[in-house]
Amino acid sequence: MKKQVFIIDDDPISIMILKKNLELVEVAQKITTFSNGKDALNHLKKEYKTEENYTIFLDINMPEMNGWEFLNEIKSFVTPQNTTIYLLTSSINKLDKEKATKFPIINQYLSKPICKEILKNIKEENKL
Amino acid sequence: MIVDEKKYSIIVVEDNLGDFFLLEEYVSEKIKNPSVKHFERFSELNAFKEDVENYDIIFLDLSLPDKSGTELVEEVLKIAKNIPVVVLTGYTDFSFALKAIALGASDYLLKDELNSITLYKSIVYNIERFKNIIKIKESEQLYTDLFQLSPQPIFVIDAETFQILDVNQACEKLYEFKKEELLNNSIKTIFRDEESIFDNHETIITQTHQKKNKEKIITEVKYNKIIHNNKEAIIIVSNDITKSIEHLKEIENQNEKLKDIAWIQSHIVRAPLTNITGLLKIINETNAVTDNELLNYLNQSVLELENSINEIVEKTHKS
Repeated sequence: MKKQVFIIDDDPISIMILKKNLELVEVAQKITTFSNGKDALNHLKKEYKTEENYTIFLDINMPEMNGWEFLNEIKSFVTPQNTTIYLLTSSINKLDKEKATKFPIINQYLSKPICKEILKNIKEENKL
Repeated sequence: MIVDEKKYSIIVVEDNLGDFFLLEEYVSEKIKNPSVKHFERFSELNAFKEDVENYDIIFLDLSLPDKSGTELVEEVLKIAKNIPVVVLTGYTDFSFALKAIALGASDYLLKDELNSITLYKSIVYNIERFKNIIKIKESEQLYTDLFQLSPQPIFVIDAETFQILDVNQACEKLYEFKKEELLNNSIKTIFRDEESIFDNHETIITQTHQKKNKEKIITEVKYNKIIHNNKEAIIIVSNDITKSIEHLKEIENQNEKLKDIAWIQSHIVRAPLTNITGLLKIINETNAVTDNELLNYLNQSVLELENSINEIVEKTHKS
């Protein structure tokens, strides 16, 4: 089964930090990055296959299409069986955290900066 | 014969000594040791006016050498504010006796019919009755003061025509009209924007009113029906809440701003900060920077900044 890792974030530094950390915990898979929800959605619409496995790190605040809008769009065709979504945000706004619980497809709400230990767990969970 | 042993203090203003002695005689028949003060002229009474209030009653002859008639009655009533004035008259000016009553005298006595019984009755009756009149006057004054000096603007209007019958000082102050400008005008002069004005008795409703300078104010208004000069009237108490509403709006605006600031704190300010902490973590773990002192200071500074921002976010969430 092919495994894919997506990072959806408009902040290139944030992407770089996450990539560097994934490198540190020795995630070997190819990492694809998108600078907003729309680009990621378009890609998934074209390429999404139920037999493949997706690990997605999703930011909330992005131009074009934010994290929440992205989640609403993919609900219709993405299943939690092969897709694990980590909401990764610099927000510590409680409302965001509450909102996240309303999306069953979200596996975990993570606050930036991500630490290596959490990434290690994610790696094991998803067998990356 | 029963003699009243109560202490009576009586003023008699009478220029005819014969009449005075007769009166004093009659008084003494029914009252034990009365204190009688005698004046022959108005000027003497006037000179004594500071002490008049210590007496129970005044008997006044209607024609004195230095003053008589209407003028005399009016002047004496001014001096005797808190005690009854009984006028003494002969048959010839009986009609004037009635006029004296109309002016405010308590009673009249016909000198030709005077005897100890009618005189004694007049003393007791007028003193007692005047006590009640004083009570009513005080109560009237109290209600007038309560109305006039109330800090809340109050209108009294005719229940049928909505004409303004009375307003208090607070009303003049709030609406900037003089009382004369409002009296007999319709209440709609002020309640310009209100269509149905008097549906809602005994409940508080919010209305928009107009001041003399056309400025609009928001008030809470309470209506009550009363009887005013034997006619159905409505009393309207108005409470200006314009400023309170403005303050409320200001606070609401500030709350909105605070929410915006909270959002900026939790999203925009934190975003570069989390990047810095993320980068620092990598640097710490990979030994990318070898000067530990610099690195420690950097770590410390970033931690302080993060704590400060978290504190602000927490505070804005609480409010």
